[in-house]
Amino acid sequence: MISPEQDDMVLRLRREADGLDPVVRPGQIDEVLGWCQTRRGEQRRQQARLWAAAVIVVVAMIGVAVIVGRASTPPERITVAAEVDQWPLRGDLAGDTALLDRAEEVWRASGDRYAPVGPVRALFAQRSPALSVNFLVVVLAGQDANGRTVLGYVTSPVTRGEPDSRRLLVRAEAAVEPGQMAVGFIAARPDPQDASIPDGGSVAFALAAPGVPGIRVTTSLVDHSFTDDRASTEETYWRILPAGVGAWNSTIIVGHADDQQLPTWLAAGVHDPASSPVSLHTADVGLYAQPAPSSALGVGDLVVTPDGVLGVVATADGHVDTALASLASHGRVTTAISAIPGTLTSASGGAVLFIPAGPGEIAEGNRIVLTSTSNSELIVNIGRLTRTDAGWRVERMANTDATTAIAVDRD
Amino acid sequence: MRHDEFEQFVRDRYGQLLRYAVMLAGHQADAEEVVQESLLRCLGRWRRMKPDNALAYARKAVLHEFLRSTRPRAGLTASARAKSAELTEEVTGDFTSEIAERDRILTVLQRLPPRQRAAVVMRFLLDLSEAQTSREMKCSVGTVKSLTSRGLARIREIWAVQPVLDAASTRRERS
Repeated sequence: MISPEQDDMVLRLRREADGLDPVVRPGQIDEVLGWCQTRRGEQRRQQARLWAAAVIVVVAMIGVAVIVGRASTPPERITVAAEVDQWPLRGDLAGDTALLDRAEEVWRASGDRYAPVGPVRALFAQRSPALSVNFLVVVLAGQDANGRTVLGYVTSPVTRGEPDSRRLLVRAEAAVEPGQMAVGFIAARPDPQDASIPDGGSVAFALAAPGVPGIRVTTSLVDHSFTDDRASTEETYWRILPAGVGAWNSTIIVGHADDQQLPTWLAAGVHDPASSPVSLHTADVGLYAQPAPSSALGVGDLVVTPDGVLGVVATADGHVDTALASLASHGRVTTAISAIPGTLTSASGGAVLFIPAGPGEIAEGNRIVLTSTSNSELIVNIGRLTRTDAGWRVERMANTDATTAIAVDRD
Repeated sequence: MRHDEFEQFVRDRYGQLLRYAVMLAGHQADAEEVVQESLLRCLGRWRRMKPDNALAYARKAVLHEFLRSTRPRAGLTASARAKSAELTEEVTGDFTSEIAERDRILTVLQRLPPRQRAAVVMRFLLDLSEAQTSREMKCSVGTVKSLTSRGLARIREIWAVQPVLDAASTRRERS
């Protein structure tokens, strides 16, 4: 028995749910059926292998019991402290040497910024699990011309059906920081060979250090309830994330993260706006960004933390203009969800106000974002709105105490 | 049941299960994964399943796959879990304008903890009885009552801070 008031709420819930009608794409059910059959077959084979393995283990244990007392050396173990280029080769396709060779060839031939010089090691090769689209990933490690460890993410084109392992392309690449516990990429812009992704989402993949399950990607761009920020139970993370999610507004979190951990950035796609890590330091005249050795920093680059934009590189020496009110000259300023346009104005006491320039309701706590005029995928948080007597005050979202950030080329 | 009956079951019920999963997961891509994994689980038990029980079993599988996917991962420190919860709360503060958009029912449901959400969806959107809901959630009827009551109370709080939209909604009801 529920109260009349609850009754009204239930009626309203049902009425609103009536409009909820998920789209089932043509052929989707066939894909699901095909996937179920394939996975079921794999499960059966795996069960058979497990039984066989169990028998072997029992026999081996008996053998061990017989020769107990004999000196033995502890098994070689990869610790999580191992650098990325020392990680062992993992993934279901790790044994496909032809695939690994093709991937290396594609990366070397790309001539991209991080193309490898010298030997290349494969770290991972696998097909994506069931997503709305499919692709396979090969992660390669090498060194660039400056001696830095670099990673190349070579993938197949995104497809609706089975990925084609004979057609490979460089999806993303980046330099690796020492001690990194996870690596990965988000490609916001598709490759011309890709099949279209429902709702134009971004392709994301991340790989944790060996023995570190519980990896996930978190983004400040969209409401967490709309993103899949579940931790993977495995050492990999595969998702199609909502459109607008990119390397510049997302980070990787791994299972043993703690409050002191620096953000682990993802590599941007090769077709995305160029982005690279910078270190931050404060001098008498303001904030400065320092690019990594051999990385470039351009005047006009956005400097962003995982939460939002800190400012814009104002001079060639890396001085960052952190004035919120000047951000509007570097792109479009709108509310995050309902896209109400507006301007930013300085007010008394150092406050910055958002002045709406279009229709729509604004509420306390709404986010406002900056969208690059030349790259519509490049969207970053500016701040949250607070209602004051003077108008909508902007509370900056970026962490102003951050010591690292990334610089993103708006053009 | 025979294998070809599984195929027919999927063709008949996929849309229904997907809608249920979208209500739980809040996002179609996630829901598709949940349904797919659930159907795989059904396929594993299909030969031992009675035709009358297939839909209930599939629904149960969807629920448990969804709840499994929302469990916190092992290995996080207490401070990291607290920070994560705080971040989620902070970031979801921007739901006012989202409610004005197409998926506002999902936005409201996403503000509920997973088990409260599941109980509200089953009781009031799938129209299952308290007894059916308790069987599918593997809990007592009393727990179902408590979950739905707290879920509705939370929804009332959410709607209470949407006076403009509530008024618009009421106007539509009357027109």
